[in-house]
Amino acid sequence: MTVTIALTACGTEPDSRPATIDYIVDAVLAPQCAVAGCHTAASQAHGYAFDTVDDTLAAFHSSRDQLLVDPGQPDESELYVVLISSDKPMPPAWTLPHADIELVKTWIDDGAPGYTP
Amino acid sequence: MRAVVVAVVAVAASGGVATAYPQFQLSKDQACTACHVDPAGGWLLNENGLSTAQSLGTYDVAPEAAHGALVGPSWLEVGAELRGGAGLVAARGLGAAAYPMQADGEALVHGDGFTLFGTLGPQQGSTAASYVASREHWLMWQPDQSATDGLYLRVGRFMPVFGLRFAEHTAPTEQYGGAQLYGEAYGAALEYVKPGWEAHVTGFVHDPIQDTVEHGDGAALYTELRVTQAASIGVEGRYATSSVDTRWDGGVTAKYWVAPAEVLLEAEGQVIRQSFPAGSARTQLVSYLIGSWFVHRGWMLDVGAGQYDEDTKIKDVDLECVDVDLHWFASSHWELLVTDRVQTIALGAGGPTSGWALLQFHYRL
Repeated sequence: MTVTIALTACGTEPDSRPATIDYIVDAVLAPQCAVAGCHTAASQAHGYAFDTVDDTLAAFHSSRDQLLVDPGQPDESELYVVLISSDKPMPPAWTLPHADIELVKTWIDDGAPGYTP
Repeated sequence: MRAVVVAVVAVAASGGVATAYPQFQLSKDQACTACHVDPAGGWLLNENGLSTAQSLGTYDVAPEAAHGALVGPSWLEVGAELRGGAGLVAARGLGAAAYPMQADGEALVHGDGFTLFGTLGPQQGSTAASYVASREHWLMWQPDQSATDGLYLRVGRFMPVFGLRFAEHTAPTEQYGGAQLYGEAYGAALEYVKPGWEAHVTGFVHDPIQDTVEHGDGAALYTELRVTQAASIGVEGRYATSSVDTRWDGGVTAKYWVAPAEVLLEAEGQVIRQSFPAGSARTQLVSYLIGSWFVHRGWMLDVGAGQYDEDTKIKDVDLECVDVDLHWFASSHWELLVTDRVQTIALGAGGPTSGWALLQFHYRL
């Protein structure tokens, strides 16, 4: 069953998903980061929750040492840096698909619409 | 240079839950309720469950709570579940990690057909309210409480039954398929469990007080039919809607007990349709195939393969994984296990590979 589904599951279309804060939170951050004990509203690992757009924006506003999101500057945005980092990778035990990381980068590159520091 | 990151994640950060081992079900010709009070499996064991746990362990010790020291009146049962683990994780670098997974006390009282069950334990949280939390608390009614199967009605906070209930919450069908760790909700369930077939129908709403990973309100269905002495098939469905998304999940399950080799094969496949408030939507696929081999008394080896495609339209966002878990049931109270995973993104397309190797313990009071 796994093999069958895997063989039929590979998408072929280029990534046309919307690089918006709503989509990124709902489709990438919430399912990958707001998992049990990590960045849920209850757990708030490192003080950040990514369950909802509101929680995520609050996390961006509360970031202290380094801006989680610096609009237009993905390399200065902790959110993007940890996704590609070897030193302190996030998630710590698995890697996001390249397309998801690029979606985050594109949103920041575009000036992070929907977020005002 | 690869960094070594020591991560000590607070209680339950990647926590497990002492759920049932479905591997035992077909081998014993029983339903979950043959061993567990909870019709979904997991948590406290009944008398037969204690006996079974005793027979499975390498060392033969009294299976009752605290080795018999906490045995009270017949209407009361108490227990506790402790879990933790440590080992290596590898994403882009290699790191060490420790996970204090679970520390839950549990108790039930029963009489006159009713069972009242509750758990209490610490959870990592930024607020005092979430530091000590009850993952499950429910009231159940059975027409015949002396029976270990039949009809069950439950109301309260519990995990809506949906598909196979694996002990390891990292099984892709659990992690991505609608039965995530901490996915408990408030609900009412009508459940019918017999060795030959079982059905669970649950209506649920998300917890308005404790934050969980389940934000939606909806319903879940799971039914499983034993088609031969050695095989069963199941159908699952789930709907949940919230301000974050609306999800429709549907899937099938299968189990096959290979008696001569004492291997249980289990398979689950799900299709998920998820739509978002902004108007976009995606279809996801998730599946898991696992074989469990009872190597020797007290020892069980799992080999699993899973797949998760987060958006079937988009290229190279699929995940594939292989699990190898070795369980040692040292006694009816202690389990040690080594869990290993290798997973990759976009198999065959050069995607990144990651994984972990963890030594875990599970202590049942």
